[in-house]
Amino acid sequence: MAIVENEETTLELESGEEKSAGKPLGALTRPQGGNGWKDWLFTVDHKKIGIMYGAAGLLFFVIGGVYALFVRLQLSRPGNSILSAETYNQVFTMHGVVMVFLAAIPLGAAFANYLIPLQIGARDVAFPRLNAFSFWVFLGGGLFLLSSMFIGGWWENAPDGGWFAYSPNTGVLFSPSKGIDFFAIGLQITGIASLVGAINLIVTVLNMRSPGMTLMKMPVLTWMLFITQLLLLFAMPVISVALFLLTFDRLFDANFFNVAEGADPLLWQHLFWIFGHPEVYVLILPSFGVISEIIPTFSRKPIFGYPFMVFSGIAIGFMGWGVWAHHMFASGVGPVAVAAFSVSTMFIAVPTGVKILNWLATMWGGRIRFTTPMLYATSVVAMFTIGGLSGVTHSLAAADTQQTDTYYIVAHFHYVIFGGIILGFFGGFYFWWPKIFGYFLSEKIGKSSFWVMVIGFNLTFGPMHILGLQGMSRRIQTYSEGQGFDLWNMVSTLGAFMIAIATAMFVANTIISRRAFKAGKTPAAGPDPWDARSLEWMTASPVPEHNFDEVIQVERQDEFWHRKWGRNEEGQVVRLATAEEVAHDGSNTNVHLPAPSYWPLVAAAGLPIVGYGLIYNLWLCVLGGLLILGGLYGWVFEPVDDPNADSHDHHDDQTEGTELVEGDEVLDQEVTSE
Amino acid sequence: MSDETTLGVSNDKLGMWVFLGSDCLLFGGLISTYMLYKDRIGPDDLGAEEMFDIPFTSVSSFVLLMSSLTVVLAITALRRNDIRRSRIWLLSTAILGAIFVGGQVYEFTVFYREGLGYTTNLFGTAFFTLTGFHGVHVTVGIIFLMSMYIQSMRGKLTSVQEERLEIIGLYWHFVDVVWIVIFTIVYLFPQ
Amino acid sequence: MNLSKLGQNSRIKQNLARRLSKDTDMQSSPRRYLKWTFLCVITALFFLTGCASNAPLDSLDPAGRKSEGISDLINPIFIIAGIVFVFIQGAVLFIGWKYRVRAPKENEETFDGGYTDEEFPEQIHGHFAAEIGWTIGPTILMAAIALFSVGFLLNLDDVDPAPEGAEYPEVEVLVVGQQWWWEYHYYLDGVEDASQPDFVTANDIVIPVGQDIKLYITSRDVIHSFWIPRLNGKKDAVPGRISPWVIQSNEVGRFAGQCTEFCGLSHAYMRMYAVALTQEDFSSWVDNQKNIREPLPENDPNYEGEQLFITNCSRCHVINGVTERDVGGVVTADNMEMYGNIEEYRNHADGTLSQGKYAGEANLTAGAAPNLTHFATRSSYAGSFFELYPEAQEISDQGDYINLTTNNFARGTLESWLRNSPEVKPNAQPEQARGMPNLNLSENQIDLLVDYLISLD
Ligand code: HEA
Ligand code: HEA
Ligand code: HEC
Ligand code: CUA
Ligand SMILES: [Cu+2]
Repeated sequence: MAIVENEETTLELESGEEKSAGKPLGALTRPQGGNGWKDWLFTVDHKKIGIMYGAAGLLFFVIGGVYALFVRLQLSRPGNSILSAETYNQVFTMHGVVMVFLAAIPLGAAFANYLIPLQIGARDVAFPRLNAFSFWVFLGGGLFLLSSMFIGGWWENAPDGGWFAYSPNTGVLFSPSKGIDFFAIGLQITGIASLVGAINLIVTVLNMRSPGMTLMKMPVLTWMLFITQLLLLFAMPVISVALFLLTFDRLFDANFFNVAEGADPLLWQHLFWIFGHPEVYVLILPSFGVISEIIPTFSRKPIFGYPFMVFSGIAIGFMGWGVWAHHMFASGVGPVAVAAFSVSTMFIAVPTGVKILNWLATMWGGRIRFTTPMLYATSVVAMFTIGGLSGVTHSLAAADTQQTDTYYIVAHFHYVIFGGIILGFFGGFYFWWPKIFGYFLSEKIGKSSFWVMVIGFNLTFGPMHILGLQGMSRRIQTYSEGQGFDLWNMVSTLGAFMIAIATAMFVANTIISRRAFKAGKTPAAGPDPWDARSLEWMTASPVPEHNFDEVIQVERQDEFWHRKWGRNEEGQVVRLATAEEVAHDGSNTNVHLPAPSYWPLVAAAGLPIVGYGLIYNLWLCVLGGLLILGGLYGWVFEPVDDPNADSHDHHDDQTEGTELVEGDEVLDQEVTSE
Repeated sequence: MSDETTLGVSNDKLGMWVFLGSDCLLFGGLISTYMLYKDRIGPDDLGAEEMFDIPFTSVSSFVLLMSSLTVVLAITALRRNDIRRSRIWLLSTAILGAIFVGGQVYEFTVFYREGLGYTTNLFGTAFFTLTGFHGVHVTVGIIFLMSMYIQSMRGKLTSVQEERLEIIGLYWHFVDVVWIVIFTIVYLFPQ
Repeated sequence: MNLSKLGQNSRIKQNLARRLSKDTDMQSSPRRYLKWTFLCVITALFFLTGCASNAPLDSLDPAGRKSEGISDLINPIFIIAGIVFVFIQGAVLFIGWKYRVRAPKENEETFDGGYTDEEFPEQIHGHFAAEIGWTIGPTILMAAIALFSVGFLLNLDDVDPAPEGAEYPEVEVLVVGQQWWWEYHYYLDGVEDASQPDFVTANDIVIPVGQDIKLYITSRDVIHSFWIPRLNGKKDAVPGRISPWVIQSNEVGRFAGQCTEFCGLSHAYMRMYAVALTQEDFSSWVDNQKNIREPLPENDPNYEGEQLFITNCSRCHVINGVTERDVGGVVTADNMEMYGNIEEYRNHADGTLSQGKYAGEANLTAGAAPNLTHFATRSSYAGSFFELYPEAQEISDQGDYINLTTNNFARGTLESWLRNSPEVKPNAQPEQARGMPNLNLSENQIDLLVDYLISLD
């Protein structure tokens, strides 16, 4: 993908002679920093890993989108036969799974990986190699899942039980293909990635902050990402258990969902949704964070009610654990439970509403600059609310018995997901692109693709409200002519293609803008193109390998902004310094950084092999297991960051005495860096 | 960025704490599953009460509990840089753990011979899964301990690396505590 | 793209237009916003088409006590949501429009947006009272909604006593979902003390008008969901569990339904109808259903068809009085125990298994097939995906369900069903014995069988 290629900054390792490799381990020597693909494969740099998460997430988004397009094509007319029932079930399942687990979560992880260390003024995450490991595990798991499309025939063995995979329909009896095995094992693998990533980032936020960066001075984005990681930390083991039970049932004839032995199919539903509901907040909170950075920046005001923003995020995180059974209002869990979950669900509208209104209040009275990121962020406020409101209409359990499993629900969650998450993330891409790659994305293409996307999105999912209330069921491969669904399905299909066009425009934008920049037609972004507020803008763009030249002493929230702007006697905001004066130029090469490593990749590669082994041939498990063990072994005995240093004194590499460099040198750096 | 972390705890230790928080939910899920299914057996099958040999399991639980003590002794010894003692306590911890796992394996075979296989009924499935997961945790712990022991033999475990042992100790304590919960719920209160 | 087809479907449009013109008065205040964003148009359309009458599954067009209750509950919520919607969208547009600043014209092409000004608005960090306000405000609103919704919720499956003069005031139905059709076990005196159903039918659930019918919903294989939108919300059919539910219709008619829990291949093809008859019609329908057949005499024109049926079909299908099953020999009205009773579907916490006796070893593989004793009295078959009578479409309005005439069968589709059912309805035959297999019948056999089936009134 275009995104990956254009990171060509040379990897500056620690100064001096220590660049030479460490002790050889077996036949392998430790990889070194440098250019090209190796640099990416063995990197432990949170920024590169973040970029890779982003690239992979976008790729999977397009793949998931292509599935969606096929779903829409099949449903465009009554009685269509583009996809057979068998294929349709696999396609919509893959759509849900790929979008949720391989697109939305990783895109959130991309922001988390890239931005958390920068926003708290850290040099890297707490466990850099573990970070690389999570990425490769995620990618391996994702490819493992996707391979189910091809293995054993074209669309023969893809999962066909829906992303919620309700038992007993996922038992071997009812789904004898290998699809559900791929589903269970694939998600188990990506789950490991999320869990490990969560541990890493939680420790990072708790333990790696710049001096003075108290929790309540962290940017809202960091806060939201932090809560996201906590949710992942606690939600992942629950889905793990569910998937274990399912896998054991399918592979080892366990009885967990064997109704003939007296099993209760609702066990799966509880486990899945105890994970599943926090999961939807895992998806949305990063996006909330993203627009909490964009809106103040372009409204030229601080975020309105920072403590409320933080605490409402925490409240959402907490309450998210108490509402799962709202997905089971029709399952027969009993009226008391239904009533309790119905009420708890209603109240989750409150903290979310606080956020919406605080964003509006941030914009209120501002001097709003409608750049592309701002357009996206604003549209999130508007579009997410629509999805949230339909969510509230589901929360009345009695009414939900009419709504559940209809397209009205599909409309709800695509409004919150696409309108909340995807639009927010696109805003984030436009916002941080100059920071990450050093050049701007074209505003012109950006704005037009924005409008195509928003209109297409509303055309796609708006009509689904009508369809759902008119009784169109979810997960149906076809409908009949007399049911009154024809018109809106066609509209919806056309809308989906508009989204595809808009997505393609975005991809084109990245390529075109990069070309223009290379050809010298557009300026370099500079450290702080948007006059932004948080620490990531206080270093050069693209961010140098070591992030910051020196430790940043944080005194206030929005530290960077306060270093640029102050007040005169009249209380007006006046410039104290330019961004270039404040920002680090990245010229400090005297920083000790974790060295690249093979082992995370080796260990991660073992997992999908074990997965195939479980499904096809246990010998493969042995092979995969050996890879994992070997990887871990090499890892443990490899010093963390410095081949020659003693293993206990890592993290000690803080260099002192690096001073701020002059402004003109900053410019030099920018020109030469690309 | 510097050796000093924000909270003053090392990253590694904090990481272990965070991981254990997550692991709680893993066992939470498994225990709930067991609770739901423990009575679901066929009319002719043996139930939990008939199966369990409480005295036997109590002894092996006690063995596991003792290992929590020995791992603490190993850590304090190491802290005092008393390498030899720490090594002994390390080894005894691992052995106690191994005895526990051995007891579990023995128990499993007995159950199996009495007719409770993994697939026999829901009780069996849930029981073996829950205790099996715990057994795997103990086994992983033993591997940790043994690699520490080997490190120590190679002279690479001194008071400087004391924290590593402490982290493994955390894990070991956690596994113990989980067992106490399982033992209470599964064995002592089968009703 | 098949846009011409879209055009043909003008009923929707007409309907829309009619509704639009009728309802504009009520909509006059939000009308301003309608012009503003395309989005509002969508939403308005959604409210307006909500009750378009050509959608047989329309959940906003209640015809029964329960669905009306749900409607009354949700309509005010839609209005509240509508107000919040208009407020938020209005605020976004207003704020965006009022406080926007434009980059200098000459900079418009620049990549970073081209803003050069260094002006700042007042730097407000928050307003405690306001924020508390919009925390507490919605809390109170939600509390109010919670209060008046929960009461209704707890009574959602309450059953009112039958109206005066009902001949079967106690009738209750066990609804069994399976891949991919519905089976109904009628218990005319309620399930409480009964050990077996009075009769069993499929796909069309027939109820007396105005009377609450208690349903017990369960499944033989995977989870399904029973939903007649115009009569009540849905209830999942979970194997091993029995969920109480109730339907009631205020009017005579036929109401479409759809299985809404994803249940595998033919989920989309798993539909059903609820048919509400007058009390008298219902009684005569019941009387007919209770009849069992006698084997046909050899001189009967359908004798050959029956013999074919016995040899080819009876391994799965039952015709009471004609086909033999392992359990209880020939099935008769007082010998329905092969269907089990409701206890057998209940959860097996006591350790006993609810193995239905229906399909040999596995009630879980849906080897079971619809009881065909009175096949020709149904309006639809095979998960209600196919109509048995062309004029069945009209029944909804006229209610002459029991007068459907046998001389106007949709014969062609029935023939193709017998010719090769997996072709017209996806199923998992032959590997997994779910759904009806292709039996490789000759055209002649098919003719005879269809004649016979049509005679089963
Ligand atoms: C990003 C993901 C996301 C988010 C954020 C949400 C948010 C919410 N969801 Fe949603 N939901 C999903 C993703 C999400 N959901 C998915 C994927 C499914 C389907 C799963 C499946 O079956 O496959 C689903 C399904 C789902 C159901 C089950 C429906 C069913 O299957 O029957 C319910 C039921 O209550 C529900 C409710 C809610 C509520 C109340 C919120 C609230 O958090 C919304 C709160 C927001 C607002 C209310 C708007 C802003 C507030 C104001 C402006 C204040 C003023 C407003 C009021 C006072 C009303 N959701
Ligand atoms: C993150 C989550 C996410 C996202 C983003 C989407 C996005 C979309 N979804 Fe999805 N959806 C789900 C999560 C998501 N969905 C889930 C969880 C389900 C439930 C599944 C289940 O029931 O099990 C579901 C179900 C679902 C259904 C119901 C299926 C059914 O019940 O039968 C439909 C139907 O229309 C649908 C449509 C769409 C469409 C049109 C998009 C569009 O927004 C997609 C737009 C994207 C593209 C179109 C990208 C393609 C781009 C190109 C082709 C350009 C390529 C060009 C270059 C590379 C140069 N989705
Ligand atoms: C292996 C089992 C099996 C055999 C043999 C079988 N059927 Fe079926 N039949 C089914 C199943 C299962 C269904 C329900 C299918 C569905 O709705 O998807 C069904 C449905 C039907 C229906 C529709 C019934 C309704 O009310 O929905 C008819 C009519 C029918 N079969 C006729 C026949 C005839 C005639 C034969 C013999 C020539 C036959 N079947 C043989 C299993 C069988
Ligand atoms: Cu049965 Cu869906
Ligand atoms: Cu939810």
